[in-house]
Amino acid sequence: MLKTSLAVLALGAALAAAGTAGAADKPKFVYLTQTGIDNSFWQSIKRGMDDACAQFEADCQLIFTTPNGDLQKHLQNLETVVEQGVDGIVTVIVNDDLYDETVKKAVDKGIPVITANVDDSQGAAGNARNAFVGQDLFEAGYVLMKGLHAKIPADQPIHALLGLSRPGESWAEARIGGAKKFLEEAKAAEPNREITYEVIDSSNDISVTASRICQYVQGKPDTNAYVDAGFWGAGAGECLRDLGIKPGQLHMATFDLVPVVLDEMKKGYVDITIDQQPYYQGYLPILQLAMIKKFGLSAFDVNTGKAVVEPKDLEQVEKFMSMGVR
Amino acid sequence: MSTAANTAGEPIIKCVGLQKWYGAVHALKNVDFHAGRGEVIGLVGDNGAGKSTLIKILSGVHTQDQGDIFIEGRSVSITGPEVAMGLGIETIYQYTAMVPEMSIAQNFFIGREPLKFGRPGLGIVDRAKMAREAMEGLRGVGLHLRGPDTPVKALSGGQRQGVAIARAMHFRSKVLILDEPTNHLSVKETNKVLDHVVELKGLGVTSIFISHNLHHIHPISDRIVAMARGEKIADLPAGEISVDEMTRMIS
Amino acid sequence: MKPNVRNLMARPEMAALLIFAALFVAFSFINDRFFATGNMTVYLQPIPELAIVAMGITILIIAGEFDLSVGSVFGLSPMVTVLLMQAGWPVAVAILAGLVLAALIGLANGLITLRLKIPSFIATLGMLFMARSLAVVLAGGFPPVFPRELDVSWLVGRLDLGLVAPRVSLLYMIAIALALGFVLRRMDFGHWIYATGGHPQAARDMGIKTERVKIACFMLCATLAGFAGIIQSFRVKVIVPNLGTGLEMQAIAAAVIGGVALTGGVGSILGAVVGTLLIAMIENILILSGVNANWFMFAVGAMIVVAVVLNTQTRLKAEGMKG
Repeated sequence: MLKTSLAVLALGAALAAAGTAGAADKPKFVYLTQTGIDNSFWQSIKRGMDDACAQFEADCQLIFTTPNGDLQKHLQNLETVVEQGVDGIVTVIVNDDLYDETVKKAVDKGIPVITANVDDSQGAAGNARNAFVGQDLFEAGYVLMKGLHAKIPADQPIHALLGLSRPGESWAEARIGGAKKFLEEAKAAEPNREITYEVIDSSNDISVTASRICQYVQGKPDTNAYVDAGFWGAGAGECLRDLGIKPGQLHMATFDLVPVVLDEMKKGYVDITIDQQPYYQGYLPILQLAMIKKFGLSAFDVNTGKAVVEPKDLEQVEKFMSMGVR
Repeated sequence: MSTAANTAGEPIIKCVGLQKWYGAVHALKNVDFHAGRGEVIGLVGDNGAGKSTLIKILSGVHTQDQGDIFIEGRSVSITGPEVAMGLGIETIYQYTAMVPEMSIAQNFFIGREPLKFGRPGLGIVDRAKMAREAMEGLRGVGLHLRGPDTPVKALSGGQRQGVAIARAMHFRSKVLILDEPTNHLSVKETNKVLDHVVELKGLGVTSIFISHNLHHIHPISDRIVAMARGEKIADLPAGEISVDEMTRMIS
Repeated sequence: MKPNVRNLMARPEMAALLIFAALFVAFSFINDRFFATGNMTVYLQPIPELAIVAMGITILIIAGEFDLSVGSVFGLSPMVTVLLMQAGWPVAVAILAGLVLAALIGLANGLITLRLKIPSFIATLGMLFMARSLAVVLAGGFPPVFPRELDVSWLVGRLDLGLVAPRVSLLYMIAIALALGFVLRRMDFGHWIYATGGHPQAARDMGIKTERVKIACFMLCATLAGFAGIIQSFRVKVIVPNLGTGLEMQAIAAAVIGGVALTGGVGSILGAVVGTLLIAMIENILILSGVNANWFMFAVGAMIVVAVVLNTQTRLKAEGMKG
């Protein structure tokens, strides 16, 4: 037993050594996210990152945060990387103030920082980052709610449930914020129509989300619209069917293209999803960092998230999903 | 070895009319009990007879529902183990009441540590004094162990009982209750325990000894108190009854 | 082996300390970015926060109970403190209020466990959700903004020591560690904690009020968790409702690596600190060595198991040797 333990320890030491060996000439880029390792959406981002790294001959490292969503840990990882001294950093920013000091330190040290996936809600004015590659979250939420509104006949009331997957995290708040804005505008534009909505903590654990949605619907059967801040709402398809709810009774909108969303789209429970094109979010930041390093070019913002996907688009989308790029 | 060696005067313990119920079970039915200074009482009875209950009441683990207790003539209310110990009643448990991971010295004084400074509960312990007095106490009962910092789990069953007895003596017990202390001990260790009891008797300590092994109890007791089904069924000098008669009586 | 050295090796925290020292030296040689000033400074930053929680939970586990709600209290106390400061309360009073709330939660944990007679594991698991929910409710959907102009240097300011620049909170951690270590080793109450966890029946029969001892430990554990949360919140100058989520597992892991026995009666403050340092060091080195993202969690878990196994093996060997 002791010998085995020593062997494992030696393995650990070898891993530690791995960090110093080789990689002397290749630029080193580090990509950090606050999400945990179990988020399947991030595998698409990683694919984009890996492809870019191979193309530009860079040494890339993707760091998830354990436990999922521990912002302090994410910040700690970011600081460790900045101290380490790398050639470029890509990170998610899910809080307006938390990362400011560290991002500035990186930029002052000459390390370019690109934010991806989620940005400071104040955009470029929020911190010292060079550019943002990702979706305009607020706009996306607005567009989704608008899409659902179009599916409900004008003579029917609207009761919407908004699923805030991670209260307090800016990406979730922004998306749901966009949906809320649309509903408020709709209420003002259609004063004779009954339009109501509620926001719940819907969780980013798919089975928990499903359970919460179905319990809510059971208690409020006149609910006819649901917007999730992510993709987890699609998991409710099963229990909705168990409750006897037919396609078209409850119109659902989600984010991202993951298998469960497409599946439920085919079954008629998810009406719209919006693809934020994670491949781009993995690929483009690395491309920019490589160009900055090689030629001193500058960074540029990219809005990756306007691709609305509806059932009619399914066939084409699925082809690319099977390639792991969407 | 029964003698009429009781000193004249008040019994050191006197219980009158003790009653105890555990839910619907009437565990002690109007039990009277007394013991004199320096007497060794052999308390016998089958399982469920009530002897455990009686001594639990004396050691403060339980409280009687009815009845009075007098220690040296004073009426007392034994509400907890620390009260019993304060009255000079020390109990040697079958399981030895020691914390295995803690040292001999720590166990010796557990719950009533000598303090260099402060009040109980907020006191700084006098470790030097603990070590010194624990070793003295052990020598006093003829135990020569490695050192005061030895964890108790390293000791044998008999050694632990020895430490327990030394502990009881150190705190100047007037009454020593021994609840089946020899159950898991070897012959040699058992004899040692019995010898201690006899020694203590010589120092004026009263002992209440419970054991299933009537051959152990009989030779060292002055008096035999027998219980069955919650009642006291016999109370007589050991010399007036044989082991066989005792066996028949309690079964 | 001389008896004194052997006794020393048998102490639970000693093995952890040796492993930590060995790995520290090894990593310093293997990876030259490890022992750099900048890295050491970043490495030390969150140590006080986790160590304080680990110390509190170590004491409670020694007493024979668990507290799974420490992560939630870690997030709730600073939430209350910041909200009160926003409402105009003076800083010191707001912090005190946060600590009092934490103590009350500890009291609740103790009473629920001991009076209602359910395992502390379950009682505090329920409190984990309740306290976390309270933090979310108080935040009201949008977390309060931390007063950024507030002077927090007295708690988390940087100390320039030349080779490394740790935070002032490190001094608080050391002070708390010394105080708690003193209580455990040199005060009668400390003996009662070890007895209550090591052999509750014996403790009771020898007159120790085990219920009071445990309730004191529950309250201490929760208060320390609340204080640690306030330190972290003041350091990063942010308060979010999910601050400290998952922390209970890290704290228990640190305690166990540091030599605490989950069955009670065994453990030390030094062990809790060493356990914390060891876990943080493992994570730091894995980041520096560029371990593949998907294997990161595996590596951390494996290292934790190895550390505990080595700890146990060293202790058993030391105990088994003739003196």
